[in-house]
Amino acid sequence: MARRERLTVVAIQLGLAAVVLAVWIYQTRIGRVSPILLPQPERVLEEFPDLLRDPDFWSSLKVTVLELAGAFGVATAAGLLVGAVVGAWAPAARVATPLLAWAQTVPIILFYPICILIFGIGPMSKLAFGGFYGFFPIAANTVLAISTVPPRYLTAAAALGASRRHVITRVLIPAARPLILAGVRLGAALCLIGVLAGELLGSTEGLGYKIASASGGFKTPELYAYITVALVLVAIFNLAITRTEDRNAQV
Amino acid sequence: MAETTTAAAMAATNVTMSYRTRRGDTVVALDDVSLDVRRGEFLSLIGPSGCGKSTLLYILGGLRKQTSGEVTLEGERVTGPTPRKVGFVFQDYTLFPWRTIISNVEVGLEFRGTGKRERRERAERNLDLVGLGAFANAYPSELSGGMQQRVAIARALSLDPDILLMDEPFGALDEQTRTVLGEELARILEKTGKTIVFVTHSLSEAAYLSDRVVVMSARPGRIKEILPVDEPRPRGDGFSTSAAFNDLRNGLFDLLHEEVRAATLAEMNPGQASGKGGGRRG
Repeated sequence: MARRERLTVVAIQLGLAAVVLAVWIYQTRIGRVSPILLPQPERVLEEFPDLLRDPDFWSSLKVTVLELAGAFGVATAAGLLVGAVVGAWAPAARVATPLLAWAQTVPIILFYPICILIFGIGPMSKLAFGGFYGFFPIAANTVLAISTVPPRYLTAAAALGASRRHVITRVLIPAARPLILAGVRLGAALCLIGVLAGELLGSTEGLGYKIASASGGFKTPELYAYITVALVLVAIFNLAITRTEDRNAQV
Repeated sequence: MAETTTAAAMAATNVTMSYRTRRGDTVVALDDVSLDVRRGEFLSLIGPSGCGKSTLLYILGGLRKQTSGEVTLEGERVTGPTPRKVGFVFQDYTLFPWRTIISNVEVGLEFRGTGKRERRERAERNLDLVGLGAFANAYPSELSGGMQQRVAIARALSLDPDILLMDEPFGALDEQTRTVLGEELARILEKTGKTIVFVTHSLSEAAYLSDRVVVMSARPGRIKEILPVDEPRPRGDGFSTSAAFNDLRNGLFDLLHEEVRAATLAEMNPGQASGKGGGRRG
């Protein structure tokens, strides 16, 4: 994309954000919307100094970040492992591929109560649930990526004298990598959803818990402030994942 | 180059290849094929589609296992790929898309465990040989099909094999590019002095490049005839327009025509597919 074009795109995106903000300010200023549903933006802004001084906020953020990191780690490790083992064995890939595709359409949130029963109300259940959520796209993409590496690459590698180890490290992995990384990215997004949804539905700490309790107490400005923090966390996490992907793509 | 010794660089003896289709029919792809590949010669395999010429090439290279018979390389039995002595150039584009051109040419040496410096030097030399030194740091997707196949040739040459097996390397290219690449290939081979086995369906290509042309019959694949091309190398532009070239091409055409007809008719009557010449009745 040309520089000019990119600037135009960014300008339009900023413009859209400004429109949303303007409508927010206007609607709350003229009093048409109840401040309990939607506070004035400056009221939300005023929450931040208190929030940043509040040790409770920092411990909530820490809990969520740790749950997220744990969930992502579990989902990636399990997804890659299961995906690689299943993908490398054609009959297993044929059995697993439709199952994994189907699992991705199941509302996994239904299993959250079971997750609480097993792991308790604390951070472990969020970690497990987020990991469970993120596991499926990673495993599914890894199976697909490995089982669909074009055989002609393997034939060429054999003709060039590749050992079994070389076939895996120099052919299979690089050939499968783009699709696997796409799965990891999708899995990361689902880990986030799993962790935050878990906290919202039943927990004693974390950003999701704070959002739920602010909502229950009609502390709307605080609610919006916490939502904003969660969105910033999501943006940072996504950016980190995308960055890794881009960097790998250039090797 | 023009002087080929009679010693066989590679030989197939009574090679038969049959396989079972999903419907349970047994298809005989190659039936009792015996062939000597002489040291330093350019040998072409032509025949109707599905006659097993590519299969024979894969078996010669140790990439596919024959049902019975034997392949020897300098007297030794071939049981698998021998990258030290035999290089392969495939019909499909098999460059690794995630590697640069130079690192694609290096990959065989990497598998062999050659040091980084020597690897790079040899890759550069072979890339220059096919005239693509300037594209060392490009990716395969940035090159045309013809250029990619030249890189594949450089990749095969980088291991310095004595024998090069080529499976319709220019099959996916247009006629003009194919002609130019054929001339280019001839030029490269003059320099390297390799033994070449070349599968093609282009009669002109076979006639222009070969010392001998092996004509195969329709399935089950057998050797129908071997035609020598008595024209000294290097062959100039004049050869491809000469009367001798035309006679040779026409001779090949006549030999093939019958076989292609049989193969095509057999395809139209699938029940006869595995019977030899059974399609004639249609």
